[in-house]
Amino acid sequence: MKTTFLLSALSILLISLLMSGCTGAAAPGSWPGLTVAGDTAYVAGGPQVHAVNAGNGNESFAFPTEPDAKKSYFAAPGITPDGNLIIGGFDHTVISLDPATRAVNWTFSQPNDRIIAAPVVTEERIYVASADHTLYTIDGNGGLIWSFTAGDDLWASPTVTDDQIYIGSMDHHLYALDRESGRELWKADLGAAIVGTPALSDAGTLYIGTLGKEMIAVESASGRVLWRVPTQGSIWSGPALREEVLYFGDLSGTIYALSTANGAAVWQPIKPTRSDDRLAGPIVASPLLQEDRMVFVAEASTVIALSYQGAILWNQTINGTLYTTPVMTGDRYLVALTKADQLLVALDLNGKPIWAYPPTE
Amino acid sequence: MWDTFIITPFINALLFIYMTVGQNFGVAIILFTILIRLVTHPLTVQQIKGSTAMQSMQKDPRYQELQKKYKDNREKMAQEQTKLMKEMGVNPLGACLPTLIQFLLIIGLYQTVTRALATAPLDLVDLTKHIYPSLSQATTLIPLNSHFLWMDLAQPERWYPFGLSFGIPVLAIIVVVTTYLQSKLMTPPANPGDQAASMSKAMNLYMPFLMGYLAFTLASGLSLYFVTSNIVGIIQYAALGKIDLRSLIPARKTLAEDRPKISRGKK
Repeated sequence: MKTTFLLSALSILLISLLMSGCTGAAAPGSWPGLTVAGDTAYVAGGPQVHAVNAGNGNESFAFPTEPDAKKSYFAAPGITPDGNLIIGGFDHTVISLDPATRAVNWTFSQPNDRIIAAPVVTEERIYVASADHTLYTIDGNGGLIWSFTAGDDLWASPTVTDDQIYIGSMDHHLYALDRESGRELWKADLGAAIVGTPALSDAGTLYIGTLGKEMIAVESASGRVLWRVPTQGSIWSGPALREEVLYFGDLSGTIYALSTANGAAVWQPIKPTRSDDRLAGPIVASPLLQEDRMVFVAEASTVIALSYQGAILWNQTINGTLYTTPVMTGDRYLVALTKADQLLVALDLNGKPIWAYPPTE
Repeated sequence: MWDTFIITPFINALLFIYMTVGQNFGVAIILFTILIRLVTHPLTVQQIKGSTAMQSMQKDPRYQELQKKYKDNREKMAQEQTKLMKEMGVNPLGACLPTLIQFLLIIGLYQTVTRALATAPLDLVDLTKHIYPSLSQATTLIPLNSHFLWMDLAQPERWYPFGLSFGIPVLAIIVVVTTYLQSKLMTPPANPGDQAASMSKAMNLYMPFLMGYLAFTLASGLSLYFVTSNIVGIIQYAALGKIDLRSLIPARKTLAEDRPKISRGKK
């Protein structure tokens, strides 16, 4: 009987292990969100938000002080004009944190699902998109001003102008809302889920990619589609816009430069490789645009600096998966890492590592 | 290799069914589970044949004689059993191998459903990598519509009837019942003292609760798969004439177990 019991227990344990292994319960769910304010980088990369000195990579503090298994943070924190951090969590809450005192100013608990997108902060308001399909507009004290509910999850931050708000949803629609009231002005069915933030040109055209492998131009006044260009892979993040050219990558690992006028290729799409000649892999993040170059990160551990003519200036391999748009601060790039021992690395202007956080042993 | 030969084809098949049946993920899971059970039907038949041959051998007087003769020498008993198996043409892997393959497929199915649901950014990026170029229109359908009947297939299922403040885990209960039924109906009456049968009996008792716990805590899409798989399994065994209804009725079973004692008493 004892043997029978032991064999049964072992079988059940084996099945449990296989099942729990399959669910990926320990998987983080998303990639780190990165924001820089002054000389401090704030990285939301799992159970804590880390404040890291951008100069030397030393940690200033972590919030919460001790990791809580029930909480995780991946959205890039917003910064209010008075310096408070706005932190959206997978625990369905939005927190205002004073980084000087580490005190929580207020907590907004109305969302019923995760905050995946980075909150957008303006002078007076905070815009938070939630996976509960709702965009919440909050005042500086954490009070709800209005909310707007789309047909499916909102994983993207909105684009906010003086009068209007534009936000893409998993329900395939790009929405235009009145900024004061949250009233829907128009919605455009773009044919596939939208996970990125639209870029808006001075001429009033919105540019957004979809998981359905298209970059689409939409008239911001009416929602009318102006042009659409097929891509090789699904597009995750919004494009970066500079001098009437859109720059973006897709999940096939291809980088594009398209004219805002008609979507024509400014130069032929390129598929960057790593220093070992393997493909750099899917590109999830929007590029960082600078005066003379742009910096992309690709999934297969690669940071790529590219000229605006499409020439690769350098690439750097870093141990980790890269999904987060790099940030420039002072004379260095900060790159957040997923599935890695380090959460953040600093590179110089030639891509050489300066420091890593937490420090390598 | 696992992803290339199991997960990726499974995900694409599931997506194809999802597109074909009007973007209903619940129906797609049910049809896909039935499809896999049908494709692996020859394995099920082989497994039944293997276990039937093994049971016949265990009832053979020569086998029982061996057990008595070498009860204190397990090594010798194992050697003699192997010889007897060869003599009787019983393949010891006849039942194990198909079961193992089916078990791997079940794990693959489970992973497929989990990955296809893709409720977080990393999962969704991963899902896009598994879609074949020939099925590229599927990218316009992700994330999949996870609503089916009253359930969100990406969340654990609860039913809130009549304004109840707590939810009833209907699907988890159905998983417990169908798992219990399946295991009971497929287990033949045991020979007294048969250790393997005792183990099966213990498993029959624990497994429904384990599966019920998984169904209670994990996404209901998986519970739907468990229920479908159990029901199809019962139908398959019934079609092959291998269902043993006596296993469900304790009184009858007791009589069956008692019968040899009565005959011994007459001697």
